[in-house]
Amino acid sequence: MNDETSNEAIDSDEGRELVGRRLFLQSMGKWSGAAIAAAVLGSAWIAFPPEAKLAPGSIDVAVTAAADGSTESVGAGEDG
Amino acid sequence: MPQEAYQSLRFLPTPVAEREDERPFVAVVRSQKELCRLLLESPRGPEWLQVEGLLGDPDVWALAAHSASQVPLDVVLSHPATEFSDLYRLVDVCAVREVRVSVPAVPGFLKAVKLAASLRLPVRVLPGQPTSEVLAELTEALGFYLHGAMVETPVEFFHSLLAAACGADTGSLWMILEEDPAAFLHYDAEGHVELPRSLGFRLAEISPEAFVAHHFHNLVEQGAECATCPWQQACRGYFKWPDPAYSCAGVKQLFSIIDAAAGEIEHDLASREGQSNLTASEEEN
Repeated sequence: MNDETSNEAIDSDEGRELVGRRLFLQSMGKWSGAAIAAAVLGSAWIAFPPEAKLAPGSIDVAVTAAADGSTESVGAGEDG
Repeated sequence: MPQEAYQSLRFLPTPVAEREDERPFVAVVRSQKELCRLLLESPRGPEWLQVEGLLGDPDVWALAAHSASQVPLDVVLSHPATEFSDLYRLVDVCAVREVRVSVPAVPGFLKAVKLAASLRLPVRVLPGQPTSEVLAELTEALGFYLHGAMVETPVEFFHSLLAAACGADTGSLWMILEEDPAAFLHYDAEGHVELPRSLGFRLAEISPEAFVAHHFHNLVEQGAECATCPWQQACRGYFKWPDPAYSCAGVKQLFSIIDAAAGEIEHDLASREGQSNLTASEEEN
């Protein structure tokens, strides 16, 4: 899943830009992969709950971040 | 259950959870028998299981690693300084389901954070109102999260605060730490709503949706330091609960470090952009 979503992200200009920024920060060796994910992706990487289906108007942050596969994949999938 | 709770994710003790309807809930599990019933017999899946005080029981994790159910687990450590080495028991569990480790910020908790991160498990540090001893450890944990070469998984609450400092809309610490009653309602065994970190203190006249705003408004009205705090949007009085007299000098240092890291990352990225532009114009010439 991680590879698929990463490829989807890379296919767009925005995705390429995100990956470029992440790789640049990684090349500095100054930041952890998790910190880079938080900073570059511009949204929280909440690995939990992965499939929460809450009522409308409830925790938008957790639900959208968890439902967004690219959020999960770019930070977690490519280095490990 | 009160009507206003219907939009929130409810955290229910297992005996209450087993009588539940279709609304989303998290089951709080405190014994091997409860876990067994929920993994093997529960007709409706909870969003996840919050497993408390069971890390020391190897049979629990053998069951969790071999059950067909894929319901995620949030493993809450009770004594992270002494039980951290039991985190290895979760390795096999991760192969079949999502696992997160929740660690109360008590002396010695950093050992659990480091081991969980090295096992590539997402971590949620529960800061409460940290003592000065714990604040020193939180600062070390933050450095580990920001700069540890092998840290690839999020360490909350640092992770979402850093994202917020970089412009993301993550909500306040109440939301990040799943303690805002507007979104996360915790129930006791009698089915009454409990306020976070308040041991049986119940919501009375205030609706769950209004709790954080009401708490923050009271703090400002009573002249608390929140009124002029640069991190009031991210915090909303989180560290002034339940004791409103708690001094935030130490936690402000944590916010400062996160803010500085966000600024440095932004600077690093801007330098990279400048270099790219320079290279492009040199190539044109």
